[in-house]
Amino acid sequence: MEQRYAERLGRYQAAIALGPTDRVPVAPGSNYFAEVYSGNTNQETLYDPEKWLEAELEFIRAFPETDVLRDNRLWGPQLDAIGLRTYRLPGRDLPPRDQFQFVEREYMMADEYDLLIADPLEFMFERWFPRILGEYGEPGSRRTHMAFLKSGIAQGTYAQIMRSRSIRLQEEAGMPQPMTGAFVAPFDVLADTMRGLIGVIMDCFRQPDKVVAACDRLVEEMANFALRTADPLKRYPIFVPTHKACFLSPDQFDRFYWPSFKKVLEILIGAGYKVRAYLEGDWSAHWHHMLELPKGSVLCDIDNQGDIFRAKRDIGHHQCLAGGIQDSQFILGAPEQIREQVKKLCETVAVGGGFIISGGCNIPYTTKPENYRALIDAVLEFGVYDESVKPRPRQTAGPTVVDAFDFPKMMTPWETKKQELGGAVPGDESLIQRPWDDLEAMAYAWLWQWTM
Amino acid sequence: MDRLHELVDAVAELDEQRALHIVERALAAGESPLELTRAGEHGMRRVGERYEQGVYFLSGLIMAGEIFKGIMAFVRPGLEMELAGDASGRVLLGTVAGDIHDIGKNIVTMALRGFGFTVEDLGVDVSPERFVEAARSFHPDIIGLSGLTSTSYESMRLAIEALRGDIPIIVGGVAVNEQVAEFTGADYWTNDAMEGVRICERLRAD
Repeated sequence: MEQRYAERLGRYQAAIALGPTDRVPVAPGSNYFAEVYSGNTNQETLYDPEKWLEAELEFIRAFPETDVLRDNRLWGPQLDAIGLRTYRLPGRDLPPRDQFQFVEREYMMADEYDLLIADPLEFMFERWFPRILGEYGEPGSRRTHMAFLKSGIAQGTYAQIMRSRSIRLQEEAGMPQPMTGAFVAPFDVLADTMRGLIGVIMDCFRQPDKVVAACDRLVEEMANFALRTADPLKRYPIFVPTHKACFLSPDQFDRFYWPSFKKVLEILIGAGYKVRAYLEGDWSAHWHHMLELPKGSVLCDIDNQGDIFRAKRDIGHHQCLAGGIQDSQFILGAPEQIREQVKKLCETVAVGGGFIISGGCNIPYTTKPENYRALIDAVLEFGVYDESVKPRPRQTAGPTVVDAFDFPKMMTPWETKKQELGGAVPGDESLIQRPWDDLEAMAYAWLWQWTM
Repeated sequence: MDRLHELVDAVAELDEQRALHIVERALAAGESPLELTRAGEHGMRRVGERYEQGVYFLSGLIMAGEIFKGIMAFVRPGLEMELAGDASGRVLLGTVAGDIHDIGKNIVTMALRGFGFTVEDLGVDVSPERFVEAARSFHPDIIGLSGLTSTSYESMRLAIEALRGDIPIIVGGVAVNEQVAEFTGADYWTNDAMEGVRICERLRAD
């Protein structure tokens, strides 16, 4: 298993770095097909971690040529505890086999930019949480206190579940993660969970300077959250979906989306991480910006609407690309169609390395199993570079250095608390300071979780 | 330049303040609400063309929709919609069952209205039964089914099965392609807002 793990991880890391490896990795980021292959419902995936792990292990037994498999990112009970309004969940709000839904509304008003920019935590506690957290309806009430307590406990519980699942996948099945840790672009913070798409587009026209300033203010918050949730050993890239970039003109992207997004990427890369970015929708007018980042630092998933052949021409010499199969081909197509497409990809996009086979940022829930099998068979037939290469993981572990801000962020650091205690403690200060700051950092990350 | 031409320009330039200011002043000066609506529609058509030319992007269509809404709010929508709606350009639209995405559908709704169509928008998560019922009462010339998720393919198929008749049906959405259209049984398909409008225009002309 150790051998298997080393091969899979090594292959994946080599592709991301545009280095030589034995074959094209089968490394989708979001393998929804794997979640339900064993017969699990979507609800079970979100609510029953043990059943989810069993589903993954069964999938790996059926398709061992898969090189990565994702730890999931939503745990129903944690969202339930705080009454999060931005998601509708299968089993709770929707039929158990439906995908979860995001409820986009104006959770931030057009005149609240100044507050967000000046004091994000004030904005969150006073304006935003009351709108998005159902259990925060009566701030200061017993029920609200209990809800926060429960959600904090849930955060710790879930972190432990994810950690042990990741280890079990590694040790029992030799399976690495496609990504660990996440963030969204500062613009998407505004566009997803705060102003909504319509709201933020209006703001781009009506109050553009505020949008830019808000995005800038959110840079360190997103970098902090990403680094707090990332793999401590830096083996796996940090994940970023990009939600609203595809609606913007190149000018708007250059002015509103990219500068703050780039700053976050640079902080994460500087701290020793790679990033896996889902370039959702059609990014063809924007992806040239990926050339501004170090070679092999950002794995770019190309969506159904993007032309991966054009992406190869534009940026494929500089960043690894993932994708190539349309959702409709997985769901409605035949194995022969998949084989033809994989052959075409291997003859073009895979040339020179830096290519990972996948769908458009996902393998769909209703993928026909014979089509996924055809994908793997075709990769083994057409996507082998050099069988003699034995992939090995890279040396990635090291200190996390962050120059842009004091990392990790906290609301009330030990230094402040110490002053409240009189300025000094009689015993060993570090025994008190370390857990105090750890808990503060964890709680601070909890606050920003709801922007995802 | 007269006010109506100015309004066309303001909408085409996505200049919200200017457009609404012109409408306000024009109404106060006794300008015909219908003429102002027509000028707004003309501006919307120019926006649509610029989108097709790659000058504007989806954000531009969204902004134009908001400006058009703002104009209509001034120009007494009830009366104007009746007068502006073409009897032979009735479009029934909705996002299919299980899918709550609506941005694309809303852009198309606004664009169609800007091009002089009368649109009944059923919203999201619309069951086949609701589509059938609405078709009976609204008497559309064209039916549009919107869906974004890959699970919407089956919903589209079921809706089309229930609706099957003489009215042409378009399936639209970014995840839609020829293979999807064939599977669902649709007459036309598109994954682009303006292309959907052009298909409706051609059908209206026939």
